[in-house]
Amino acid sequence: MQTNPDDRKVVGELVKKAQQGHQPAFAGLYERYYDQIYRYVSFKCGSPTEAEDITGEVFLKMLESIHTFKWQGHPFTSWLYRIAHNQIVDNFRRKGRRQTVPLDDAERRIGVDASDLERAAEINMTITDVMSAMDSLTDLQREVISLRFGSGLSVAETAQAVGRKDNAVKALQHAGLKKLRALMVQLTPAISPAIEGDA
Amino acid sequence: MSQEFNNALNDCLERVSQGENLQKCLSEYPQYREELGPLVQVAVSTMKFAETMTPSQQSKNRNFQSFLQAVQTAQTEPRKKPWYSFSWLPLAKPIAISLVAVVVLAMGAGVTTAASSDAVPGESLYWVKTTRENVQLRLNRSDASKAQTHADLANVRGEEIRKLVSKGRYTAANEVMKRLNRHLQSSAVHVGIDVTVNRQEMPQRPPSRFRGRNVDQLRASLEQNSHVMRIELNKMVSELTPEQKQQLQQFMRRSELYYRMLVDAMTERGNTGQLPFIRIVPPQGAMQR
Repeated sequence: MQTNPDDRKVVGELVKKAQQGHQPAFAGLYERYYDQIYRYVSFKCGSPTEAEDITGEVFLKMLESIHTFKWQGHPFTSWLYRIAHNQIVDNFRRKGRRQTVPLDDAERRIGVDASDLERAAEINMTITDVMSAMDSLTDLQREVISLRFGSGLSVAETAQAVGRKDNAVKALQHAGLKKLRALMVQLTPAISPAIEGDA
Repeated sequence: MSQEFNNALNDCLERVSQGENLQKCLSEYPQYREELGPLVQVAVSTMKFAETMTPSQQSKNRNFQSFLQAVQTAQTEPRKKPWYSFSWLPLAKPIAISLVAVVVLAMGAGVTTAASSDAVPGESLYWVKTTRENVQLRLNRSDASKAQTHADLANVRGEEIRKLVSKGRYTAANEVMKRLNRHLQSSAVHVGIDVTVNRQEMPQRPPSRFRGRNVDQLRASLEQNSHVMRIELNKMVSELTPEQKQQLQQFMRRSELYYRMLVDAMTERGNTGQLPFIRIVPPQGAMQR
């Protein structure tokens, strides 16, 4: 979840060229960030169809306003996620906030491989479980959890994107995970055993 | 404890996400082990969950094509910094916006707004047109007038699409098509209908007090607008290249689908009367045309 300095250099070059109207640079930024932005949007709105539309709009907005982007010590991702956030807010404002979980997805099971968790208790939940748990977080907690674990942003990048300090993001991360765990325990009892004896 | 714990949690999250052994990390924080483990576990499962959220290749490619087309358009139409941007004097912007709003309201249906009615996106007077529309929307109080205004604005967007297509500006036409759909959806919301392609969702607002006669009037006007738009776009087909023709036909199909969904939903509402909202689920793939 930490940004590689080489990555920053590559992104810096891409942004610079994109600001000069270099078409391959735009394609590079699209390829680099499309999936990440899509995941973030999906986390926030819950509907794959809507997420696809909004993600498309985010990149069109990026194109419109990339000339206004200035390096002021903030990573490019923070700026891009701000656009995504605004697009989601606009979308909610237009349509009103509502739960849209298509059945196909609700039925999809998310299995977590026990070996990945060092033989921790197996967690088996559905997208509906996760989305309803996410819905019960505060806006800021949901934002931080979406950026950190949905999109894999570092604490610093997340802090820039939400306009908070690193320590505040860590606290929001802690509170969000705590609440998510409490809700997931209710939804999926399999998660409840603690991890002692897993080593 | 709190800040120290937050740092420990973050350290474990970073290390586990980079493939390090969870137990090894926990062993470095024995005092927090009990609480840290389950939280990292939830974070990991959330990350796993996020990994399953991948866009379909088809939609990604479709969005990429639109994006590239927009990039090309942006390159052929170099961006001009408008004189009213006032970037040289930050405080002037809010003042200018207020003044412009006052001027637009004062002029009413005056010369500028009249001249702007033919403007399309990208033209200098287009902002006057959209400002006037926004004012018009705000002045409406009842659901009926809001629904009718949105339907009228959808028709205005249809006219803009026709003009943009005739100028070969397909990317801009595509954007206007999305706005046309938004107007229709807003119109539906004010009639008390929730038109959606999602299969499961909750009603957003209480039933509108829109009366049956108004529904009939609105439906008739939507049907007529849809019909006129189809005819107008159809007239242009013979003058286009095969590629342009394909894009135009796509616009025609989309506008027809958007109008049809709303008209069908209104017909359904007329039959049931009591339902607060109706879900219209088109056949699989219908929206991907």
